[in-house]
Amino acid sequence: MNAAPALMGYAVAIGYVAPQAMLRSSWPHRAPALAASVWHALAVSFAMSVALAAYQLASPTEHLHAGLVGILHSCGVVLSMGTGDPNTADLMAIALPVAVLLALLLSFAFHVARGRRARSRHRNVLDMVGRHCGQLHATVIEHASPAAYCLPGRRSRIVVSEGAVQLLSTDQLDAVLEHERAHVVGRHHLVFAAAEAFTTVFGRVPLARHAKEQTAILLEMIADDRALRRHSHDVLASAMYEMAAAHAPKGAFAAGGHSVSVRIQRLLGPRREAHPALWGCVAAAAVAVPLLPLLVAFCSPGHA
Amino acid sequence: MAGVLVRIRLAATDRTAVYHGLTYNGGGKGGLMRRLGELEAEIMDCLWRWNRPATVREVVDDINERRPVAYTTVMTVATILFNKGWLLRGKQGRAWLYTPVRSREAYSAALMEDALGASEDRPVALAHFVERMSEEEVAALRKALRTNGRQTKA
Repeated sequence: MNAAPALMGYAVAIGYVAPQAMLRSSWPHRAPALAASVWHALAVSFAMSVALAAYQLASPTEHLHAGLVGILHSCGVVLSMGTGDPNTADLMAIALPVAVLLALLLSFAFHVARGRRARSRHRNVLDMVGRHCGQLHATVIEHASPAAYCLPGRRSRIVVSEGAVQLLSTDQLDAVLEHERAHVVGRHHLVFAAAEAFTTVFGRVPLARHAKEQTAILLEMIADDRALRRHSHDVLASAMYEMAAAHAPKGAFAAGGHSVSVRIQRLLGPRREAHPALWGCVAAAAVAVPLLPLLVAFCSPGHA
Repeated sequence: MAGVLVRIRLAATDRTAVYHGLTYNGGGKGGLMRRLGELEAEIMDCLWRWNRPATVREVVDDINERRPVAYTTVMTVATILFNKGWLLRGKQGRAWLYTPVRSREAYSAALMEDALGASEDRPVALAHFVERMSEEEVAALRKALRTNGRQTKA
């Protein structure tokens, strides 16, 4: 008996069933930081179980190895050293899991580098065109349509348009800027890059798709919560509404706008803190989930 | 090859200019680069405000009303801006007349498009504060906010 089937079953559960359970539960919006770490823990767990399953399948001591080599052979992959050679098999057993992890790391590096390049290009123009406002601790660009965003990373910038300065009250503007500052301080761009990296490698798996989408909205909620430390729910919600309403295109196609609705409804809804016991359980699960594949791999019956 | 030579010469002049005009602020290489960037922005700001071609002399006089800056420094930085594609220049008598390639509004619009563009794949801004919504959604939210306001007052 090999641990590969158990690992594959586990990967299917994490990749296909767990996301549904996460999407159906209501606690993630109450504890967005915790929820974001659970999504990442699931991703790590999935990647590890895939890597370990690959290792087990290609392991020379296992029956399935012959099957795998046979499949590769029939696919036209000719192993130069012959199917029976234990060296090739050893190499495969190491190379497959290493390839999975390497793909993830490279993908992460790619997304981080691409973001950094794009932001630095943007910042070069911004520093020339925008006016730094010492009072707001932000760069103001002359544009009538209201907008606020941040360029995270080294030499970060908080950017707000003249339109937003005109539209919002002092308190509302402060809340919006605090939200953007939270993104920069929390290094949310790296968290999102990790989710993107996972999606690039495992794009077809539901977990990957949902993890990226959910990470994006949860990061917004984390930033909202940080803005709420200094500002009231009403101020932040109304600022969000004003900006969104000014953005609504007249009769045009509106894409993916409902995350703002979700965020405003969350601010207006009853304020229920997550129960400490639930917090503890979920946090424990977030820590344990990435370790489970190891447990499955090395404690399965018949493991040599 | 010629391009490389020009660039090297430019880098050299650029450094000289830094020593002539900007060292009084000191502060290591990062500090100097920042001063240089600030001067670039200042020159662009003058030309955008005046909205007409101007000579280096005019720009220097304008900046000198706030702080001392050497003519050679401004001239060098204006040349850098010309080489970077921010300024156009034409000869008038013995002096160069500089004009911005594009208006400040055009650059602002491009920045907004870059940061808030509807494309899924936008690595520039992490996320902007809100994204676009349909009119129905806005109406629903307006209602929710009003109800909430009444509850808070009551």
